[in-house]
Amino acid sequence: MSITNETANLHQNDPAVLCCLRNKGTIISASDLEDPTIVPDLRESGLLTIPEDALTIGQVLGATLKEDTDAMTSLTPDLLDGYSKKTEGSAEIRSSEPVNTGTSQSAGVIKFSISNVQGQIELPDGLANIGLPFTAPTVEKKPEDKIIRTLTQKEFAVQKVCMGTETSFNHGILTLRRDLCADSLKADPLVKAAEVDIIPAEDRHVYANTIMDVMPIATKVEGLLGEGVTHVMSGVVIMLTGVDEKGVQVHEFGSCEGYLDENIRFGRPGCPDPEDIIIRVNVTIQENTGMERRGPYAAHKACDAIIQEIREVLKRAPAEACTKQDVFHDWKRPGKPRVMLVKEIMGQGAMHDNVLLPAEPAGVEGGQRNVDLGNVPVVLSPNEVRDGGIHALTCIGPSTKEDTRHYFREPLVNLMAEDDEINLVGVVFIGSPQVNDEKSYVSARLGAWAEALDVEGAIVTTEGFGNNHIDFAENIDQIGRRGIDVVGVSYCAYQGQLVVGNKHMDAMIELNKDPEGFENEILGDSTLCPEDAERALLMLKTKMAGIPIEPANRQWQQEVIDANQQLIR
Amino acid sequence: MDYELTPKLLPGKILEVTEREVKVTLKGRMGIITVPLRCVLTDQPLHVGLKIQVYLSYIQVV
Repeated sequence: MSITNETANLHQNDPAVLCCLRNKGTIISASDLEDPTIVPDLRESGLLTIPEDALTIGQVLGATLKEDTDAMTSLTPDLLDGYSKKTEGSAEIRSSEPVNTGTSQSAGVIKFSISNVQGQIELPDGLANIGLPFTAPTVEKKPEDKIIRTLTQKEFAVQKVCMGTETSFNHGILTLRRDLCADSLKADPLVKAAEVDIIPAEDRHVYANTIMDVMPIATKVEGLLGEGVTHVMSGVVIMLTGVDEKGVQVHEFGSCEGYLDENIRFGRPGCPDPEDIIIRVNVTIQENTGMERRGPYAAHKACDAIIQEIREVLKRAPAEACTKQDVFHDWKRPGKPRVMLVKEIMGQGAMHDNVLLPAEPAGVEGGQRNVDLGNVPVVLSPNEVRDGGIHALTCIGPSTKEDTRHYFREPLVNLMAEDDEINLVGVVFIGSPQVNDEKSYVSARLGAWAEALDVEGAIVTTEGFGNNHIDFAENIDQIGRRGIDVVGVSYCAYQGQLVVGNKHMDAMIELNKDPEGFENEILGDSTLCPEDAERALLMLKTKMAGIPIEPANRQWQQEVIDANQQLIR
Repeated sequence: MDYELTPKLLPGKILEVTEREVKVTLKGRMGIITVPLRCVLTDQPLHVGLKIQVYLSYIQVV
């Protein structure tokens, strides 16, 4: 398959291989050459050998074949006359040109646009005596970073959780009302039963139904989501599990029921930490509703009703009981490169859905689901994300899905929001619909957002793998085609290899943590971790600085990731 | 849309065997497949729990 002149220019340093039989005397052009992107495959399959003295595409263009030569032949000096000894760079030396400045062309002033400092400027005699109209450079005042929003999260450590006659939180002991579960059924008629039990850190070998989510317990005390004061319980998380009345797991494909110590990568952003107490809420929903949107949503609503009663006592926790306080700011950093973070979320229905901006942190009530919003991109401030602005309905268990706790402590949001070299203008959540036309529709809106926000750089992440990688590629393309530097972040490795691509996907971060590159069914294992976030941000800064990024290997190699990680430490 | 589909060798195990078909589940919660017995290559009698592997890619609607 021959290539175009544009492709030949992009691959000037790649080996030149004839695509078809060419006769003696042929002057080599792009149309005589094989596509360099498939050359590695041809070499792997043994169809092609590249000798040491092989010439590059840049060297052979315009050269003349000395003899009739077969297709799939790597061009070497003995086959060509007039090839270049050395590939010439594509950098053009442009001469300085006068600039037409319209009305500003005042008498006696000639302005030059200087694009390259080479050669010399000769001035006529006498000009030196009249003085050149240079003015002292004005010292520009460096614009200062401004805080536009402040969020204070006050942590209250929980040492023990037990059941009792009423819900309370005193001296680090959280007591849950025994009738809480029965009352939670009022949240949705599809919920037929709910049970709560407490799983301490020292006893993790506990069997559980499919894990539907892991959530923090947090509540607003002052202000709206993303600002004011939030109380958070530390040392405890809520885990939602579920089945239907027939005993069918509320799962996506192949439920992840099993023993918690085997199914969870403790310590990941979206998982319980090793010392956390787990409050398990196990919900039974109406039979055969597990794969419809209403079934899983009902389970989340019932669980949220239980958490809300805990939130009410957490709101009243005395200030002196606070064990830690974190202050987060939303910044405006004028003068710094404007960047945005794009988080692609699932949007195909059932548990592939997310509640955006609920009334309470990581809650359900008061929010809107991205499927209902047509999966179009929605912008949140970094503080809104960090204050529980996303409640994930995603059926987790697979190692690549992001749950509610993941968004609550999203490493890339935290890193980019605090980095004072960039101006993070917002976090954009975009859903992933099923059909390609719908994917294109929402991706195009993302491109419009990038343009409207006037960003210079962007990082696009996606959870999961599969056909959402089509949106992922298109989201990157929509941003990249507007001249914006963009970095992609996803699990791909062996099993989730990308099925589409484009020229803007030249800076990618791999999230895989499984030695074999598989979806290993361990909760949170291959999700975005702090070290991945650091690689992604450094990759973006590198690209924005114009430093060339080496092309990725054709196949996933952990060694490349490890080497990149070393650059950060 | 043009896709670059490369089949991957995926592991799994047998969930059910009848005199007509075999049902297998794929590792990574990536689905359950039922195929006729004649589509299974084996050196031993089939039974539930046997590990399998299969080259698979995505399903493309045409």
